[in-house]
Amino acid sequence: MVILLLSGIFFYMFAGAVTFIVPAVIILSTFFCGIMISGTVNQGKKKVLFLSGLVINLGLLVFFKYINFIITSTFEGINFISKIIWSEHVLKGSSVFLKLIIPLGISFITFQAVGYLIEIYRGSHIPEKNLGVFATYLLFFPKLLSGPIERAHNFIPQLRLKHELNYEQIVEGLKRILWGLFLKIVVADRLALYTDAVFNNCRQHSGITLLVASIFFTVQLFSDFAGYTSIAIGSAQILGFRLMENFNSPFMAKSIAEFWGRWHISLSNWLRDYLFLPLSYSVARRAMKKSYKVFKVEYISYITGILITMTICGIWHGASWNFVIFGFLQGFIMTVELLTRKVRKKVKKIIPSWLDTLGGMGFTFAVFSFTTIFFKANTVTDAFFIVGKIFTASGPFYIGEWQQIIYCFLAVFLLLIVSLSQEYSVKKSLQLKPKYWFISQIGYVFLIILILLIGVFDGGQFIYFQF
Amino acid sequence: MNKYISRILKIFVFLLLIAIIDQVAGIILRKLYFTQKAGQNNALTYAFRDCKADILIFGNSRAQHHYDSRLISDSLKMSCYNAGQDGGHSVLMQYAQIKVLTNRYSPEIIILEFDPVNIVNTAGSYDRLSVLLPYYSEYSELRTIILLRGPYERVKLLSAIYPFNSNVINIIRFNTNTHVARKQDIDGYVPIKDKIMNIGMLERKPETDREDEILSQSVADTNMVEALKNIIVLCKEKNVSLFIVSSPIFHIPNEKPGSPSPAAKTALEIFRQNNVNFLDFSSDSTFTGHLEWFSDRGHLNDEGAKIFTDRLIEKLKNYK
Repeated sequence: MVILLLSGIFFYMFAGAVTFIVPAVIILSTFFCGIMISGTVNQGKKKVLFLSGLVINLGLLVFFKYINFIITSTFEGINFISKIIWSEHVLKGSSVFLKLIIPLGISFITFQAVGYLIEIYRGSHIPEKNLGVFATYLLFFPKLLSGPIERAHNFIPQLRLKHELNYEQIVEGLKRILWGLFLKIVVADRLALYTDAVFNNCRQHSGITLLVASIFFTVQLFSDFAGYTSIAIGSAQILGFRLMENFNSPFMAKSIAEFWGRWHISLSNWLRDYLFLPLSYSVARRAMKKSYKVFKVEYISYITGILITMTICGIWHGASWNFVIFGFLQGFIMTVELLTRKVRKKVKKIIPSWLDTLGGMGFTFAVFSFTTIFFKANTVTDAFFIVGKIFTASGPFYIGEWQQIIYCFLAVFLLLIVSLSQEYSVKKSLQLKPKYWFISQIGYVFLIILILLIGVFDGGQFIYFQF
Repeated sequence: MNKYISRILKIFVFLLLIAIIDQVAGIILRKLYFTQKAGQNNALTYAFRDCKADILIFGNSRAQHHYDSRLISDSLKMSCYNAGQDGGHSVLMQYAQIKVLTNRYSPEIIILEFDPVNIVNTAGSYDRLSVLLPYYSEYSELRTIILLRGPYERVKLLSAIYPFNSNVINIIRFNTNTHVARKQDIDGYVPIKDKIMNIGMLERKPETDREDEILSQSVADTNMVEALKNIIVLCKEKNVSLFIVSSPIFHIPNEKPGSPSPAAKTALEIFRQNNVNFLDFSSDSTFTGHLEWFSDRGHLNDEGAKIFTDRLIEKLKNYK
């Protein structure tokens, strides 16, 4: 465990020793708050301690990740209002910009720490008494940068077990890493060459090009993040640890609500347990007191909860209005899905099930791809410009280099085949595992050759590292 | 069988399988790579292996599309080959090309198309050296340059497939007759037929302005400065007349010239110290405001290229 903890610290310090101060404060404050909350009987004192822990954790997150966004938005907001009222800007020049180094994976560490504190406060878990164990939980290097957002009660008990190198675990872990590399190098980085070229010059491209680039970006985002997760899970598996799965064929989902149950599962679960459910219950309690008639109480609580939760989910991804809109749109679509539930049930009864499945999957993919325009675009203005252009601007389809676009389609095709086989092979109990060891290895050799042949070795970093 | 021996055997078989497939596929790809009938790879191979022109032109896309080799050849009565390579290469690429070529023979004149950005480490500057990977084993003089790509390059190059990474489709395409020669290639010169129709086509985005601002403050990369100096030294050693040329960029009339970047100052200082023939057409007033001679802000079309080549020839004649 000492080695694990030191590797986590080393891994972190690699990006700059100063930035380690932030996770160190998070670890220490959460650890001691957890112990004190648990040891206090007085409810008021408990609450104060809990809130102190939250303020420290979330305060650091807000300061390092969102302070410039808050300053700029306030500055522009005041000027916008003053322009309307007095026809001139009250604040002159440009807003202050703090040059801060955002600590790596701060969003992931903070959410794990906050989740831990909530569980202790609720009394559902006992606090960890060993600082080394607790620090290793937050700094476990495979999940340090981009998750999964592991729960303490899943992970800490594993730290207490004796771990020995296990041949089967190592082989399985290496297979996961290989698959992750394939997703990242062959699919994500390949698609990034096209999407970057298009989105960074969106004004020069036609509607069809922007549409294809948006679809490619959705696949890129999935491959990039799922690739990282696979590498993280594989690395942990080699060391004898089990990290939770973060993806479950999200593009096979038939609604956006189902999609978020399959995409970034650890974040979705966190938001559900610590934000959406408490918020919805609170709204429901208030709504029941006021006895609304037009909407059912459950509708009001769900809609309020989901809109706030998903908007926060958007902001979690990044400090810009693009992400606010991205998150809000997810909540809005889920609201529409709820309000049309009865109609959709009726339609489902009269159409064949395959059409329902295909239509649902197509709708979900299309809608999510639409929202990722806000995720990828450089500015909100660009995002709206792209949306407008997709529906209005005709023109030629940008190909760039022929071989690049062929590789892009090939990458999407390969991913589609694998996703379909993963989704349906288990359910239909198809035995795809060959009887002979040698034949089963051909697939992995093929994957390695494919990476060497068409992988992009000069690609950028993982998209989710920035969060 | 003992389970440990069985496991070791399995690992060995697995690695052997990868090695065999990698080597066999690598041999096939190498064979096919060097039998391509057209395209950029073919042009690079030709320059490295067969070209014996008196005048050689090096640079990136601006070299490839701005210097009409046939005009130069006809006017100066010397053979000329345009070895410019599309793709925003840095001076490292040109140094690699010049190193290989001058090792084989000494041309009389080398024209190096130059922009200060060629000695700035922009995103992907080193990555773009991947076009040299297929030549790694053949030309030992390229190795130090290729290894600048990254600390693990030597390890990656253990694979026989890796040098041909992302080249499969072009290899197939340019080995078959199904491809259409979309671009006219005249001794390496690739003319552009497009024209800027109106000034609106040059509309600039805030991001582009920001990028330009960053570039205007950028400093020269040490390796690239070294490569530029080495080109000059190499030409002196081989008794080759070197002309470093900055070809025209589109300017609107009365446009205020920006102050030179630190990288540009470094380059000018190197040229001055080494008495290099530096011909700067980047702000040539002949081209100011002539939208019809450009395909975009940084590239002349065929019509513009011919006018520029004529002006360059006049200058070269003065030096002869």
